[in-house]
Amino acid sequence: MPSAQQFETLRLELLRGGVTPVFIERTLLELREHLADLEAAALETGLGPEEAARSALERLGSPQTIAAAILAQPALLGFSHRWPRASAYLRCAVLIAALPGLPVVYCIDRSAQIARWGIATGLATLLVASLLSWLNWMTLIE
Amino acid sequence: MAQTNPPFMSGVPELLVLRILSAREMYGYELVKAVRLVTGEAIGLGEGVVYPVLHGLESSGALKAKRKAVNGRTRVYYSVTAKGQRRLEHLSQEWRRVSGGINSALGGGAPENA
Repeated sequence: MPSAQQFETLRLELLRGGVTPVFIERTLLELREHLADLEAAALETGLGPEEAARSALERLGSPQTIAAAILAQPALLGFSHRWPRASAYLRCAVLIAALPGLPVVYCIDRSAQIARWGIATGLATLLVASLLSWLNWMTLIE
Repeated sequence: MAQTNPPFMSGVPELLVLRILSAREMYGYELVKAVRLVTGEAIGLGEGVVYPVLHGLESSGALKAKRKAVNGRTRVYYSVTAKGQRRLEHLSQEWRRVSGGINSALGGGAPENA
């Protein structure tokens, strides 16, 4: 379906351009509705379904034209594309601030594995200790 | 296909959108039809290009949007805010000033050399 391809192309262009996903979804919703209205109007003029769909797409405009118009509006861009320098500084600051907390976060994130590892190590230690004690006892008996 | 006027369009879509929406709330398709109607098809906004203009105006607080379900379709209706009204007045004054100047230049002939 050509319109689906065009909308997908537009979505990718906008994502690459740094438009916030919320705006992308809303724009696509409105464009789809607009396209449906254009198709209905074209059908009313007596065009066939294929011709009406083609005419509607032409009137809506190419994904590149629409994307260029959207990207020309800084207010619609995400924070990192609108303020790239501030965003880079902020990322660095957050990373530096998060460094001391990373081991804790790592442990919390993998608490189940760490617990399993602890139990396995404990059991292995117990087993080896028991074995050594038993060997020691056997040696003492002889 | 509708003709667009790229070299003369700077600020015009914004002015037209605010002017038309100041009368009543509309959704995108309705708005494009209204632009054609009120300008006598002299100005054709690219139909898909109207949405960035609407979203830009909404981000700046000049418009507010609300979704409505109409006959199983989702319509996003736009209306002008108080800030948008002030922006419309400012843009209208600017446009009258510029168009007055251009009319005067077109009607008054070439300026004399100092």
